[in-house]
Amino acid sequence: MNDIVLLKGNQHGLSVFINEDSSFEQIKDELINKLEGARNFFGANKVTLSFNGKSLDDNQQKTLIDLFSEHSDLEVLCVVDEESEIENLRETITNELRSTVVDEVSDIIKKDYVNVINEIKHKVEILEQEKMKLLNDIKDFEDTKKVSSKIQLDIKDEVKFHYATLRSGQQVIHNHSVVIMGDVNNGARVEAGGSVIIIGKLKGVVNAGLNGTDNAYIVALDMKPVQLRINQTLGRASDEMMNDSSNTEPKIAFVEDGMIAIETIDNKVLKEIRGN
Amino acid sequence: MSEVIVVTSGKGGVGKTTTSANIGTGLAMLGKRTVLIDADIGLRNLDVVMGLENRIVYNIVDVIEGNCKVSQGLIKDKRNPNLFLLPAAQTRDKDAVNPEQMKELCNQLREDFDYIIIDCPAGIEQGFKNAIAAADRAIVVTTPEVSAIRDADRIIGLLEANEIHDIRLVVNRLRVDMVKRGDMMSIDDVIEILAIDLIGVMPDDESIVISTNTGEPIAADPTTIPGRAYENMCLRITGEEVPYIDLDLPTTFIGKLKNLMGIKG
Repeated sequence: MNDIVLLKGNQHGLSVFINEDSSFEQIKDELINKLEGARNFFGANKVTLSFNGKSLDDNQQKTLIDLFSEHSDLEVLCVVDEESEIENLRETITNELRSTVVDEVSDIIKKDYVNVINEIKHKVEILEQEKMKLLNDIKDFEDTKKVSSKIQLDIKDEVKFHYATLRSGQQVIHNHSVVIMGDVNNGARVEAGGSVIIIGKLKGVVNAGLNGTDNAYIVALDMKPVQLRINQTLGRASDEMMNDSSNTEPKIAFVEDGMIAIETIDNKVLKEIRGN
Repeated sequence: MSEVIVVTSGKGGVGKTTTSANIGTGLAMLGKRTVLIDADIGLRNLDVVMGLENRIVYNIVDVIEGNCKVSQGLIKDKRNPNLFLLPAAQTRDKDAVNPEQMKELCNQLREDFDYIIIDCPAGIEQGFKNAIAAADRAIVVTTPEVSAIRDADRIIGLLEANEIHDIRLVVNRLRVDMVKRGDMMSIDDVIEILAIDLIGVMPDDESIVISTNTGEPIAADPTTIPGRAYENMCLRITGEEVPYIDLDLPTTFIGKLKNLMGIKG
């Protein structure tokens, strides 16, 4: 700033800018010049004054204010410490702003944070539910395995193949179908959940369909059983059949009309049993 | 190489003891050092059938319990220096002995004998288990009757389950006339059911009944048909293949005459 004194209007009144390098005398003189020069311009108005630039003590300020009264028609209402005012204002504004911003931001963050927390809580809840569900599923599965392992001896071998003749007193017990590659002597037993096929003579006892199926059948190359049973139906071969040593054709026993029927195996019978 | 053979049946009264006594006699006559062991503790019969009951001082339980040496318990046969008998105890029962003890006893005897014949009691309980404990092979005796065959089948199953797989069949008390009439099962019928190899067929003969009562095993006389049949059986036990006697040949004088003249019936 080249001018020793500069007068600027502002919304409140006049700002007096004083060159910091000037002496007080110079300042006084310059102010008088400026005031006299702009007397008409300024007119008779009420103004507030604020001093900027070189800092003045109270006396100096008073002196300058007196000059206003002497050399202008202006009425000085008060002095506003503009700079500090501004400074204060700035500070206040800044603080205000800051706190507002902080509040807002923290609110936003808080809001978001709370939202995030809630979201996470919600997600955790969902995961917990899924975990409970999975644990229940596992328990169910294990329970069925336990139950089924009680009744199933060999889960992988659905059909049990027995490669030996069953002598009197021996037995084969299985929860599915059974194939005996040998004879079943009198006094031997086969108990099967499904069907029983005997590649040999059947002279013992066979209980088939114990899983509850009436559809189970019993096949033997020489059918001379002591007793047959398919599910709940009990039966035996006729005396004729038992005593007929010449008829040794393979036969099949199945349930028909609530009784055990034994027939020679031919296509007709197989068709009936197959259902096609 | 000594062999332990158990003679068993399941069913009682089909001829185990008679068969054991006669096999022992027959093998001894073939020059084999043979010992008979009566495993029917409590109901001993082998000593009676052998005619040695009044020579018993110690028995199998005494030997096993250590009351005497094995040599003290063994009774030498009246007729044959190759044959010995280890009698059962009559005042004890089958629980007096366990399978391990039987095995030990037989192992000891293996050192001195070619054949150890164990006469098994009827049934499938402790007595049976004791008798088969040391056995290398088995001879199953049956008569051609449904009940005996049922029991024999069970016994064969149990023998196989106890890892005794050399099992041979003796069909005892066969009556050819009844078979011809269809009133008795034939040998083929029996073999079809039991599915093991034959080693001997014995006819139902009065002379055998007499011999068990007198205590003189018929195998000692190979001129008789039963005697010859037992001799053949013993040859088969040693591994020889011997054809079976045709039991259908007439034994009466008239019958033989008719046969000579070519008249049937």
